[in-house]
Amino acid sequence: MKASRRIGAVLIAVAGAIMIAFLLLPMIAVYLDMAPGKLWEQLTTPVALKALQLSVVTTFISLGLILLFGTPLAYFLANHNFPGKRVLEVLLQLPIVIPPAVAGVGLLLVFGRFGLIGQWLSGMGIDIAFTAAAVVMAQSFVAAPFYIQGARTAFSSIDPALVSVSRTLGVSKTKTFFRVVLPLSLPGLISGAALSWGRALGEFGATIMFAGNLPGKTQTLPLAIYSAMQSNLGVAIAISALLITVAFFLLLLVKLAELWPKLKRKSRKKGGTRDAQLQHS
Amino acid sequence: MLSCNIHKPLRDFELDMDFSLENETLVIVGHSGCGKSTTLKLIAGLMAPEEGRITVGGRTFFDHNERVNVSPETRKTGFVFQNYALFPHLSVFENVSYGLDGQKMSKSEKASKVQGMLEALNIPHLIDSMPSDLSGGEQQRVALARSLVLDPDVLLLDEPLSALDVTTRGRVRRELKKTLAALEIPKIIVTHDYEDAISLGDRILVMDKGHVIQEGTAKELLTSPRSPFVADFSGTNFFSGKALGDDGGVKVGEKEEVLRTITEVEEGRLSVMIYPWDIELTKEKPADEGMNVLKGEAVNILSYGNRARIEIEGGLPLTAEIPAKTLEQMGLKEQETVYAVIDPVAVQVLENAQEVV
Repeated sequence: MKASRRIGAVLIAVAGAIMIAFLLLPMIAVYLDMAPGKLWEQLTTPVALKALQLSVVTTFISLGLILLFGTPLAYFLANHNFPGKRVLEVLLQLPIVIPPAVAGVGLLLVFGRFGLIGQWLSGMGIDIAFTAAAVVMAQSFVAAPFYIQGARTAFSSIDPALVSVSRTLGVSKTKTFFRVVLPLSLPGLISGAALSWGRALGEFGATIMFAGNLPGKTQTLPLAIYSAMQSNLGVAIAISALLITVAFFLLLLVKLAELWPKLKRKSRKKGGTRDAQLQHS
Repeated sequence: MLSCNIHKPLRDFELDMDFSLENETLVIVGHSGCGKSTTLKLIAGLMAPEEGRITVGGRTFFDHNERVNVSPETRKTGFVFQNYALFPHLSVFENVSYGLDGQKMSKSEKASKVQGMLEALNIPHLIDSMPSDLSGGEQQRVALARSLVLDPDVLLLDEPLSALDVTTRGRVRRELKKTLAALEIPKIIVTHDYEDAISLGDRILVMDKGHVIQEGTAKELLTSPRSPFVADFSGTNFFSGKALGDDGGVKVGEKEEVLRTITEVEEGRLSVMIYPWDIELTKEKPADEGMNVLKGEAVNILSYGNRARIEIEGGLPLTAEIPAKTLEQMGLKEQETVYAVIDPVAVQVLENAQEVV
C-alpha cells in the first residue's frame, strides 16, 4: 500500500517536472545563446529597429481601435439580453481559435483588391492589402476577442444596483458609466487590454497572408524573426528575447491588475483608520 | 403625498397597485417575488409601468395618458437598496457627497452638508472609512445619508433589514424607526418580514401576486384579517369552515374539526380566528370542561426571549405561543404529542373574511 502510494507520488513529480521543463526551457534557451551585450547589438541592427518601430506603432493603433469599438460592444453584451446573444458571443470568440492563416485568407477575401469591400475601396483608389493598414487589421482581428471577453466579464461583475442607485442620486447614465462602472471595471479592462496587445504584438499568420512581409512596411517583429532565421540567426534570437521579455512584463501587469482592487483597499484602510484616530484624539 | 396607480404585466402575473400615502411610513409586505420590489422600482423610475399614474407632491412622475415619464435622475426619490449598494471604490464621504457633485455648491458647503448628515445619523467618525470596512448597520446609515443629503421628496427602502444578522437587526430597526419618524416625506418600505412591518409601518399593505390583499394598521390586520394569507403573515390561526347552527359549534379545517364558540352563529360558511396566545398546551389529555381540546404533534418549537412559539400538526394546524417558562416546566420536545386547549371564548368568528381558495 505504502510503496504503491510512493510510486504514484514519484510518477506525478516526474510528469510535472517534464512538463515544466518542456515549457520553460525554450524560453530560457533564447537568453543563453548569447551574452546580453551581444543580444543588444543584434537588436540595434537596422532590420530589427525598423521591425520594432513598425510593431510598436501598429500594435498601439490596433489596441486603440479595439478599445474604441470593443468597449461599447462589451458593455452592451454585459447589460442586455436578446435572442441569439449566446451564438453571437461564441462567434465573437472564434477568432481566438481559428488558425491565424485562415484569418488572413478571410481578410483578403473581404478587403483584398477583389474582395467584398476591397473592390469598392479599390475603385476609390484605396488598397489595403499589403500595407501597414493591413497589419493593423490583421492584428485587430485576432486580438480584439481577448479584450471584448475581458471587458464583458468586468462589466458583468458590477452590481446593477450601483448603476440604479447612481441614477436615483441624480447622475445620468453616461456620467454613471465614468464615475462608477469604469473605475470598478478598470482592473478587468486593463488585464483584457494587456492580453489583447500581447496577442497583437505576436501576430504572425494573418499578417503574412494579408499584409505580406515587406521590410520597413509590413514586417513586424515576428515576421522579422521569420526572415532573419534564413539569413541572420543572431537577430532572430535577439528579437525573440525581446518579445519574451515584453510578454513576461505584460503578464505581470495582468496579474497586478487583478490584485489591484485588494491592494488599494488595504492602503485606503490604513489611511482611513489613521484619519479616524486623528479625529478622535 | 404620494399616489400610485399602476398596471404592469410581469412574467407570472399582473402587477396592479393602487395606493396613496401622506408623510408617513407605508410598509408593503409580501412573499418574495410578489412584485413589491418592482413597485419601488416603478416609483423610482428604474422601470416603467404599462399603464397608470404616479405623482409625488404636486409633481407627476408617470402618466400613461399624458405620456409623462420623468427620468429617475430628476425624480428626487431616495432609494436604499437591499444590499445598500454603496460605491465600493469611494469612501463614506465620497459616497454621501456623490449626488451633490452635480449641484452648484462650493466645496466647503458640500463638506459641511455631508458632515451634518453624518452627524444626524450618528456616524461622523466613519467619514474616511471605505464601505468594505463597515458593518451592515453602518452601511445602511451611510446609504440613508447618501439619499437624505439630497432632500428627496420620497424615500424608498427595499428590504432594509434583511442583509443584517439577527444580533444587530433589532437595534438597527429601532434606529431606522427613529430616523424615519423625523422625516416629513412619504416613506415606503418593502419587506417579507411581518415583524419588521409592524414595528416600522404606520400603515401596512399586504401584497400577494401583484395585488393588494389588505391594507391597515398592524392592529387592524391582527384583529380582523380578511384572508388566511394575512392571518398567516401576522401569525394568527385562521380557518374557514361551516357553522353547524343551534350552537353545535363550527366545523373547520380540512379534517372538519368541530370547535365550540360562544358566538351565536347561523348555519353557513364563516371564518374563525384564534390568537396563538389564547392556546394552552398540556402533555396529558385534559378533562373535558367545556373546552376545545385538539390533539396534535409539536412539529416545530421556536423560543425567543421569554416566549416560545410551537407549531402543532393534527386535526388543525395550530400555532401556539406560551411563556418560555411554561414550556420548560412541561418539558415539551419536538415530535411529541401535545394537547391544545382552547377556551370557546377565544374562538373568534369573523364575518367579512374571504374564503379559503
